Amino acid sequence: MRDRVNRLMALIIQACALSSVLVLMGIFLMLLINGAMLFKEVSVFDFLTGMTWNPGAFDGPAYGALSLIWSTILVTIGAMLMAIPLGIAMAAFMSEVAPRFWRNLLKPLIELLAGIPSVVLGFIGIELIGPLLQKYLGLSTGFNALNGSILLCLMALPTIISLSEEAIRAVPFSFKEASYGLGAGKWETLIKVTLPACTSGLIASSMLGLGRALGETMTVLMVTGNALQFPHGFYDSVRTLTSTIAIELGEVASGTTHYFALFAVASLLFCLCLIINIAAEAIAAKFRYRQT
Amino acid sequence: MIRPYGTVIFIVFFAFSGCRQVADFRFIKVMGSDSEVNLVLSMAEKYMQRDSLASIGIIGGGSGMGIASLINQRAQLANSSRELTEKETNLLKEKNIEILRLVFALDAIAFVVHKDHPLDTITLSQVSALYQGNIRDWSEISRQQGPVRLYGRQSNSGTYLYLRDQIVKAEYDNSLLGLNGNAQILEAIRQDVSGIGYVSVGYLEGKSASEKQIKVLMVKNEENGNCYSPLSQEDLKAGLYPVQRPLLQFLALPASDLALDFVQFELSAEGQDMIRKNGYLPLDTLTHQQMLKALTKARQHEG
Repeated sequence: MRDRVNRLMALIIQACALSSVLVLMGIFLMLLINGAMLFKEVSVFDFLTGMTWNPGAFDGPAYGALSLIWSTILVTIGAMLMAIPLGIAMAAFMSEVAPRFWRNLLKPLIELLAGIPSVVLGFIGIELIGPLLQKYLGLSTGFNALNGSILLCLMALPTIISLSEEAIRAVPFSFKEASYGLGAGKWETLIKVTLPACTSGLIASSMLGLGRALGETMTVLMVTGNALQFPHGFYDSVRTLTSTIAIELGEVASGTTHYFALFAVASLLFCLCLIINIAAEAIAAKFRYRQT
Repeated sequence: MIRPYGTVIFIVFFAFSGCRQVADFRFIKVMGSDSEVNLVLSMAEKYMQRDSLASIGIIGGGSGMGIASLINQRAQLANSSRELTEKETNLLKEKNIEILRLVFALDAIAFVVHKDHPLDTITLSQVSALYQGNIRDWSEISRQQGPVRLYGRQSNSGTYLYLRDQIVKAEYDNSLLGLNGNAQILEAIRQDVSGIGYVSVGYLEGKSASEKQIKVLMVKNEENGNCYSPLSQEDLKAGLYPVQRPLLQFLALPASDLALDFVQFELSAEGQDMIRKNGYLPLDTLTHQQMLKALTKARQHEG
C-alpha cells in the first residue's frame, strides 16, 4: 500500500516538473510561430538591421528593430556598469568586512529593495532621479537612457549582492588562512585571494542580475522617454524592446503584420534572456564543481 | 493592460444594495482615451450615485486601446479622441460588430511651454515645423536660445494621431518623447524650459497655469493675426481656436440598457454641465439633437 502511494506521489511530482517545461516550450513555440509570420512580409535582414521602428507611421510602416535592440543593450550595459562593481563591493563588505550588526541590518534591507514594485521605482525615476539628472548634469530633460540605467541598477543590485555574497562565503577558509599565514593583510587577502577564488560565482550572479535588467519593462517605459530615434549615448531618450511591446500591444489587432512584428520582438527578447540565463547556469555549474 | 500611473484608472464599483435579485445588477466596461478618462469617470461616478444597481468600469489607456477592445469584444463602449482608421473599420466589419458613433463633447488641444519661456503665441505652421523637426532651435521663433525638446504621447494615443494627421501633417520627428499621459507631459514641461508639449484642455482645469509652472500658448491665426486661447470658452464656442476636435464614444450595438442610459446621461443637461465644468465644451444644439436622435434609434435597434 505504502509503496503504491509513494509511486503515485513520485508520478504527480514528475508531472508537475514536466508541466513547467511544457509551459516554457509552449511559450517559446507560440512566440516563434507568430513571430515567424512577420517574415512573410518583412525580410529578416530588414528586421534586424533597420534603423527605424514605426509601424503606424504617417508614410507607411517601418519594422526595423536595430534601434530597439541597441536601446535595450545601452540601458542594460549602463545598469551593469553601475550594479556589478557596487554589488560585488557590497557583497564583499557584508561577508568579509562588516561587523555582525551591519550584516544583520543590511541583509533584510537589501531583500526589501528587491520587493519594491517596478511601477514605484518608475515613479521615483520620474519625480526624483529625472530632476536630479537635469539639475546636476545640465540636461534639458530627465527622460533618458541614464535614468533607466540607474533604476535598473537598483533592481539588479539585490540579485547581484545576495548571490555574490553566497559565492564569497563559499570560498574555503583554508584559502584565507594560507594567505594570512604568508603575511597578507585583510584587504590583500580579499582582493588577491578570496575574490579571484570565486570569480565564476561572481560572474554567474552578475549574469542573473543582467537577465533581470534586460526583461524589465515598466520602470524603463516610464523613465526613458520612448523616442523612436537611434540613441547615441546615455543622455539620449531610448525605446527598449520591452517598452515597445508594452506600448503597442494594447492597440494592435490580432492577425495583422504589426501584431506579428511584436511577437518577433518578443522572440528576440526571449532568445536574449535565454542565452544569458544558460550562460549564467553554465558558469555557476563550473563554480559548484570547483567547490567540491 | 500594462499602463502605468495616472493613465490606468480602473474603478469598479460593486454596488450591492440589500439582497435584491442578481438579475437587477448591471455592468458595462468603458475603455480608452487618456484625454477623456477623467471626464467620463466623473460622469460615471455621478451616474452610479443615482442608480445603485449599475456598475460602470472605466479604464483609460489610449484611444487605440479602447477601439481595439471594442473589436476584441472586451468592452461595450469605447472612448476615443479620434475617428476610426480605415483598418479599424474593416476589422469591425470583418467581425460583424455594428457600432454607433457618438459625439458627447468638444475638446481642444493646448500647446504648453515652461512658465519662463519667452514665447506667448504660436502659429500652426510653427507647431508643424517644430514637431517635424524642421525647427530645432528656439532662437528661430523666439528670444530663447537652445535646442527644442519635443514632448508628446505614445502611438496608442488618439491625440498623437489627431495632431499628426491634422496639424503636423507629416511624421513626427523621431526625437519626440512618448510619455504615458497628459499629466506626465505637464509634469515634464514644468521641469524643462526647453520643452514644448500638447495636452487636452481638460487637464488644464483646476489650478491656474502659473501654479503649475507652465504657460498655455495662444494660437495665432496666420490670416487675420488674432490670437485665440484654448482656455477661453468663448473662443472655443465660436470655433475660433483652431485645434478643436470632437470627443467621441463608440457604442457596440445592440447596446445594453445601462450603456444607453449612461450615454443619455452624458447628453443630458446635467452631463453637459459637468463637461463645461471640466474645461471641455458642451455640444451645440444641432449636434446635440442629432446625437439624441441617434440614441433613440439605437434603442429601437435593440427592441
